[in-house]
This record gives sequence, C-alpha cells and structure tokens, in this order.
Amino acid sequence: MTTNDIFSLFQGISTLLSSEPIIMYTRIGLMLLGILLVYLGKKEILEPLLMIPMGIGMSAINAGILVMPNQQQGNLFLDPLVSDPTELINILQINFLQPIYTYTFSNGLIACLVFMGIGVLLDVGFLLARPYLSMFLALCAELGTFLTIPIAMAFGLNMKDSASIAMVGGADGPMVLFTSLTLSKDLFVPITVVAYLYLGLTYGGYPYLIKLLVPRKLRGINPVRKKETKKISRGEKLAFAVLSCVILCLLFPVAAPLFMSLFLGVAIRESGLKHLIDFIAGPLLYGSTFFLGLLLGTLCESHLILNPQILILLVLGIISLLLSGIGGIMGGYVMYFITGGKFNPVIGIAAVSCVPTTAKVAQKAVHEINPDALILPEAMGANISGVITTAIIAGIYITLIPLLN
Amino acid sequence: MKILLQVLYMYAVAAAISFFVAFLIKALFVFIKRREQRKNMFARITEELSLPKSWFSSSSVESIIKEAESLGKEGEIFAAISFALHLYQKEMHDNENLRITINKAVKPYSPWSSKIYSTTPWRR
Repeated sequence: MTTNDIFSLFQGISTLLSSEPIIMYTRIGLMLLGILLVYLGKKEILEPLLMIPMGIGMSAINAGILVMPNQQQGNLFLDPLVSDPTELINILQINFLQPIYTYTFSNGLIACLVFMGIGVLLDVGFLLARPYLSMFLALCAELGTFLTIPIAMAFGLNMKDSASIAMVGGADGPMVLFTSLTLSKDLFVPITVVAYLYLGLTYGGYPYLIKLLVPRKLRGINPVRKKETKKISRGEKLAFAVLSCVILCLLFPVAAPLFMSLFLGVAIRESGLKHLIDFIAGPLLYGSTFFLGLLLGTLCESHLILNPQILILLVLGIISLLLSGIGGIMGGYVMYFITGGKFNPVIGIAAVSCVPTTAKVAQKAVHEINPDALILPEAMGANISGVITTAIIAGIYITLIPLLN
Repeated sequence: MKILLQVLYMYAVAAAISFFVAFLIKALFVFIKRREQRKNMFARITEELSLPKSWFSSSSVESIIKEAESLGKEGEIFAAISFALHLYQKEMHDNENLRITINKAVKPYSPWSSKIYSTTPWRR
C-alpha cells in the first residue's frame, strides 16, 4: 500500500497536509481551541450549555474535511455559503446539519426561540417597580454599543459591520446574531462567535472592573428604600408586555420578530400557562441553545473563519464590553450623587444585559464587602431593562443604519 | 465628526424610546392605581351605607365619584353625602327601571299541573 493510498483512505489527514500552511495551522489551532472550549465548559469557566456543543462542533468540522466528488475540499456538516436554490436542495440531502442551519439559523429563528426562552425566565416586576431608574442605568450601560461604532470605523470597518460588532456591548447573544445576520452577512459568523466567547467572560472579568472602578467603601452601601415597593400583579406585568410589544413592533417592524419573541415569553409567564412555560423554558430554550452552540462551532471552519478582520473583531468585542461595563458603573455613580450617597454604584454594572449573570456578579461583589447589603431587586430591574434597551438598539441599528448609509 | 453625530442621534432615539417605555409603565400604574382607589371608595361607601354593589352602576353615581376624586381626600366625605342624597332622591320618584328580578323562592309541592292527575288511570 502506497502513501497515496493511505492518504486517500484517511482524507482528514490528507486534506490537512495538502492545504496551504496557513489553513493547516488554522485547522490545527481551531481543533485545539474546540478541545479547550469543552474543557473550560466542563470546568464552568465558560457557559457549559453553549461551549461543550460549540467546542465539539469546532473540533469536528476542522478535523472532518474531505475531498468532495468535484475534487474540492468540503465537509458533511453544512455549507453556509450556498445560495443557489438547486444546489441548496441537493446539499440539504447531503449535509446533516444543513436543514437546521437553513431553516432556523440563517433566518434568525433560533435567535428568536432563545429570546422567547429568556422572556419566560424574566420577571419584569423588578423593572416595573423602578422603571425610570432601571431604564437610565440600562442606557448608561449601552455606552459600548454606541462608542464602539466610531472606534470600529477608525479600524476600517464599514458602518454596518461596526454596528454589528458594537452590539457585543449589549452583552446579548441572540441580539448580536440577529443584528449581524441582517446587517453584515459576510461577517456574522466571526462576530457571533466573538460575542458568545466574550459573553462567557463577563462572569470572570466584570468583578475586576468593579474592584478597579468602585472603592471598597462605596461597594458596601446598602441602598436605602423609601418605602416597601408595591407588589406588581400578574395582570400589570401582562399589560406591560402586550403594550410594549405592540408599540415597539409599530416603531421597528424590522426587529418585530425579536420584540414579539421576548414579550410573548413574558406574556406566557405572566398568564400562568404552566405547560407552555415548561415547554419554552425547558425543551425549546435548551434545544435552541444546544443547536445554536453546535452550529456556531461548525461554522468555525478554517476557510470561513480565516478572515483578516477576525483580530480586529476580537479587539473591538472586548472594547465594547469594557465600555458598557464602565458606562454602567458611571450610571451608578450618577445615581449615587443624585441620591446623596444612598445608592450603590455597583448596581450600574448589572444593567449590562447578560441576564442574570451581571446582576449576580454585582450582588456577589457587594456581598463580599457587606454581607447585609441586598442590591438584587435594583440590579435585576436594571438587568431586565438592559435586555429591552438592547432590543430597542438592535431595532434602531437595523432600521436606521441602512438609511444613514 | 459626522459619524459621532450619527451615533449621538441614534443614542438620542434609543434614550427617547426607552424613557417612553418607562413612561408607559408609569402611566399604566397611575391608571391602575386610580381604578383601585375608585374601587376602594365604592366598597367603603357601600359598606357604610349597607347597600348592594349593583346600585353603583348608575351613571349619576359615576359622576359623583369622579367629582369626589377631583377634590382629593375630602372628596370621600363629599361622595358619601352626595351618594346618600342621590339614593334618597331615587327613592322619591315613581319611575321604575323596568328591570324584572325573579328571586328563587322555596315552594311547597303543588300537584296542580301534575301529569298523574291529568290522565285517566288504566283499567282492565
């Protein structure tokens, strides 16, 4: 048996060795990165629900490249670049993940399903108890979502791509996916991957930002509440969800699927439809997250991911998240001065809408200094407002940026 | 500079919409709170005057309560006096409201329409 025969038998190795050096090293690097993601997921340093399917998908797609009948390199997972209808019909019958990609990912359905699941888990009562305060903090925590646009344009990206990567500052994965799918079709894979990688880091990175920006003395402040907050009834929450959904859909029809999914989740939760709540918060949310992770992993194929802009996107993603965190804390400081020192500035960082991670990070940072301090009600209100403002900003970007161009 | 202005413009739009949503929430609460206050006022007056709740459906009572609300806390007293006067006047006139109410009454057994008395017994 000759060497050629062995290589034709093990095509994964032959395609690796016959590729250009840069492709070969990228494939090896991505295989190792996939394994690392599984490890970090297992250790719960990154979100395991997403990272384990993503890591395995990333390693498998880069290992399983073979020579197709047309003598070109390809895989049996999916091909995101197919657009010709006849070719798509053929490939739907060959690539095993192609149906899920075509029918759920490329049209944003999976992002909406995840968002519906988030809606079912959200208790808008925290937001309804302090609407102005929560919205103010959420707007401050969107600093990165806006300031990253001019920075990205200075790096040479166009306005649409800049807005897509700036959405990472909103710290909401489905929103980044939805915006980048609409605004920058060429870069949505690296942008979404960067977003999901960084979102996992908020839990590890933001505590250091809090320690850096908020002195120990201020971190221990227990917010003074004037009176016992009114209990928000389910009817009030339902009315809010329905009205907000209708108004926001009316304002931004382009982002209407996102708004509808979020508020439908909230409405189902508040209507007390137990079977639907169990279905959406269970199989639908976990199923969507699993396939989202798997598809994101399999989209990290060396030919697709090898983009000269990936490094810029990595830098911009971290800048965006950092600026949002700083903006949130600045909002917290504004409230601290307005209330005459009765407000804990750490609450501001919870307005970065990574539900409920940032709220938990804020509470944990405060608890370390003052075990009696309870900031979770304010933090959750800001956190949920963050989700709504991020959706509003996604709607603004999708609607206004094509017009501004 | 142009980009910064565009970003600022988008931020202003986002802020306007977010605060509009917050305002919507507040407006919703004010509406619900006023309804609750009115409901409580009705309930208190009904209890004090020992009246059935169905009496509050008349439009004149609605207008009394609205006026009472505009007067603030003192309005409750005003509403109670006005309502008592309204009821007194209502009792004075002869016009009926044409609503027939049939109360269920317990009746002893009566054979007046019984089938057994209207048929001829079978005889062989």
